[in-house]
Amino acid sequence: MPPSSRFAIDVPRNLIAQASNGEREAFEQIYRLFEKPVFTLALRICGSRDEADEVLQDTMLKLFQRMHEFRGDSPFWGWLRQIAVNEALMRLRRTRHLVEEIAVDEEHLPADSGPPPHAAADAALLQRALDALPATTRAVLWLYHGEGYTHEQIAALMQRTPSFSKSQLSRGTRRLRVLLQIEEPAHA
Amino acid sequence: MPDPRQTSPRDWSDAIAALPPAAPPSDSWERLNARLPRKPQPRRKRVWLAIAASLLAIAVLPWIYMHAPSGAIPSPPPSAVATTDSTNADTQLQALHTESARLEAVLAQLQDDRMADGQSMALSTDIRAHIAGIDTLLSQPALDDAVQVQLWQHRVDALRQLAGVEGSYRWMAVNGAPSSEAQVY
Repeated sequence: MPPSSRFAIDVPRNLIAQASNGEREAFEQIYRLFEKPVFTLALRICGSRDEADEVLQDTMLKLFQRMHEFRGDSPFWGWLRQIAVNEALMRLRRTRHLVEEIAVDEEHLPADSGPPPHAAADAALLQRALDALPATTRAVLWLYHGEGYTHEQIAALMQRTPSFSKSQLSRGTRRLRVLLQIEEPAHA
Repeated sequence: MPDPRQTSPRDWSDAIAALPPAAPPSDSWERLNARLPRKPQPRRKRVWLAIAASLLAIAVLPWIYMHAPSGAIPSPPPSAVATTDSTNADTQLQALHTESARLEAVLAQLQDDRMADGQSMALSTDIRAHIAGIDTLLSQPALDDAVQVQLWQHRVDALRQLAGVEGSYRWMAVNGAPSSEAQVY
């Protein structure tokens, strides 16, 4: 079952309409609803509070400029999340962090299907381990496990192939296990 | 050291989803709010205000000159008045024509439809409509010099405003994101 996104917040249609008309108070309400999900996503992808802050500012500024473009044929939160993801990934490209990834060979890697180690229940330990991953690998992990994107969707966002996404995910979870200092489960 | 009483997460999605959300700096909204453009007046109101101001300039100025109390407006000898006023008006008009042409050249450099967004386009369209209204008034025959100066000043002011809008958006577009976004949910 795919994880539920932190962005999955229902926004009343009239609030969206008021914000689309440029009403500042309505836009502020929308801002307050989504500032933490946007900042959190940006922090997990970019790895820095300063960069996450800039992504939040740029995302919300772009949202304000484009509120009138929202057609209502899909969830508002999904549309906003898309803007945030694009801003975060673009920031990584701009700072060249997007090239930092765990090198993989072309061999197919078996999926890391075992449960996470007990240490993963400790938020501080898990956060520290995530921060130690290369930027691209961490971004793939977060988009897949944290936001429920598929490999095909991640590939489109990062202008790579679904195989690349799968490889980074597999390598990333293996590296997390090592960082959390727990032995890997034996493959069947 | 992990607490042994904590339940192990079922899978990586559970583990990552359990991470607490991060809070942005407390002044984030204030900083964003300061960057947001002011709410523009409704379109119709803007255009009619602009046209009304232009018409008022044409209608009121002659009336003021006709009905001003004696001495309110200095009355030098007619020839001197004509020369001085005409010279001043010509000088002012030349300066305004030059500034208007300069701003139009700047706008030609700034204009790029690929970068336009709906809100900026709406604002730009309104200002251009205002300028078109001024141009219509300027095309009236035998306009008084003072009225021409007023209208050309309005034209220059509107061109500056338009350059500000289009320049600001172009700067943000150049320093921001590509306009298209994959719809992926």
